[in-house]
Amino acid sequence: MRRWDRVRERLRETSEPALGSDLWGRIAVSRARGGTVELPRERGRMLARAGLLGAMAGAVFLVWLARDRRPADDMNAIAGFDWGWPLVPEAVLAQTPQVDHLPAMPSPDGTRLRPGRWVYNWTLVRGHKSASDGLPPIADTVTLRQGSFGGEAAWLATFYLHRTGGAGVGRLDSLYLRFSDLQPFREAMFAVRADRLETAMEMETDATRGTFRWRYRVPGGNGRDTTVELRLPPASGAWRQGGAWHTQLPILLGGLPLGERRSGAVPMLGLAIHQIKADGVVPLWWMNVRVKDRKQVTVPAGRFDCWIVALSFPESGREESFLEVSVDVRSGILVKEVPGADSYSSRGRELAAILP
Amino acid sequence: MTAPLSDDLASRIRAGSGEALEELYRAAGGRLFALAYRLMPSRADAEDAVHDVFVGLPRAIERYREAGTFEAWLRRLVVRTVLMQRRGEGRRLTRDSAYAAQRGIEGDGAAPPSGEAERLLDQLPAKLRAAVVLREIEGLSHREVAKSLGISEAASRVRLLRALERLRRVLETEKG
Repeated sequence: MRRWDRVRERLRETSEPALGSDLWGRIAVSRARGGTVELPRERGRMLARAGLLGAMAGAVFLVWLARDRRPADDMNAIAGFDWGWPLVPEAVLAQTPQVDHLPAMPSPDGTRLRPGRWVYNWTLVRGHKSASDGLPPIADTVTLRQGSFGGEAAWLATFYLHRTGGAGVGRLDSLYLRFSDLQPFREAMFAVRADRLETAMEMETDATRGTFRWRYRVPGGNGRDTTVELRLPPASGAWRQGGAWHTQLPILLGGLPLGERRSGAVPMLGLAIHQIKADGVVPLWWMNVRVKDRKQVTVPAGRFDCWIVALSFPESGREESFLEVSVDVRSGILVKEVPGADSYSSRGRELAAILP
Repeated sequence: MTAPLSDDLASRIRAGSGEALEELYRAAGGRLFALAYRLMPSRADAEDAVHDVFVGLPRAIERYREAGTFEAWLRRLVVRTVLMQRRGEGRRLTRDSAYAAQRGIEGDGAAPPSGEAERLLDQLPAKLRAAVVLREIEGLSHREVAKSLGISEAASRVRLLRALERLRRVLETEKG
């Protein structure tokens, strides 16, 4: 029809992309390491399965009604897994192959950190829309203090994130990190507005079985622990590009041995639900950390001697993000700016550093 | 003109031949990638889809019944793989981008579209995009589109009209 002639004309301008020369290499490596992917079936069978699953879900729902349980509890528990976890357990690290062009950064050292509280203000920018156009700024408070859990010396890091205007539920995320090497072993999340604990979870790695396990209990739920077990990535180069949730990024950077022209890669597990593959394998990728420069930076919290650190995920092809990390006040990120992306970018500034 | 893929090649892959899999990649990988690229928002995502198809193919090929051409079956497999990968994308983009912005971190690694057609296609949700790519760019019949997407022919027509209309409005807005 003539109505869509112009659209069709534009669509004919589709380019013919050339196949990357290294893709077969990736496929061969994944296959050689025993990797496999469960591909979707034809829709007819899928619909039959969906029907069966629907019937099962209906039955479960009826049972749930009879037990008078609240569905929101389970949903909150699932939401707890969405945020990912950038620090990689030691056992996984031992299995992780090194990438030739990315020398590994030494493990984070917990003794480099010092306790304190840092307050940030983040400005959201979406396309041409800045916070002043309706997207409220976000305040973020990071607190780090020494403690213990289960008899083990630990850093307790808490992250309180809330919008300073508009809608949005505040979120408090507490993370216990082993004192010596910052390996996380327990995390608790609170929905602040709801004024109740969303979920608490413990994490453990079984290198022998190649599994990574969360155990959590939902307050107000059935009183039982729920365990989610995922397979660790095989010792292969099958790590994939993707975003990462740097909930613990200030802590991680504070523990890394930053220095003049220092660079290296930090492996990360992608624990966001969408990143976990159908076969339950957690993807692994590398974050490249590069110290570019050292300079004096002034923010509302004061004037600081800073490393200018560039972060990037080499597989993503994205521009680098730049952070200004205080040399002396470990675990503090002063200014952080992410280059414009397709949807959001952000700029953060440290408002205050409160040190004991 | 490209030679059709033989069922013998499919049989050898089914028998576990890695050489046959590589032969298939050399013969059809480029075409399958081009298809994935048109359905995906970025080159990296398209490469991931093709990677998954070839890694999963030795197992998936057990379901190939030689009822149609091997390549048509492969192309449907690519389409389904792409749609599976994109299924959670809306939720992911909203949630992850927001959180990424809050934390000032990278998003999903999507690169900007490379051409005018790709830029237009990026305006469409995955299902409408698949319909318009398969029908208007790949030249499939509505029956083939319907089979690829697991929907009825009527639904294929509706999706195509919706997609074209949405794109027309995008162009009108830009022009205006």
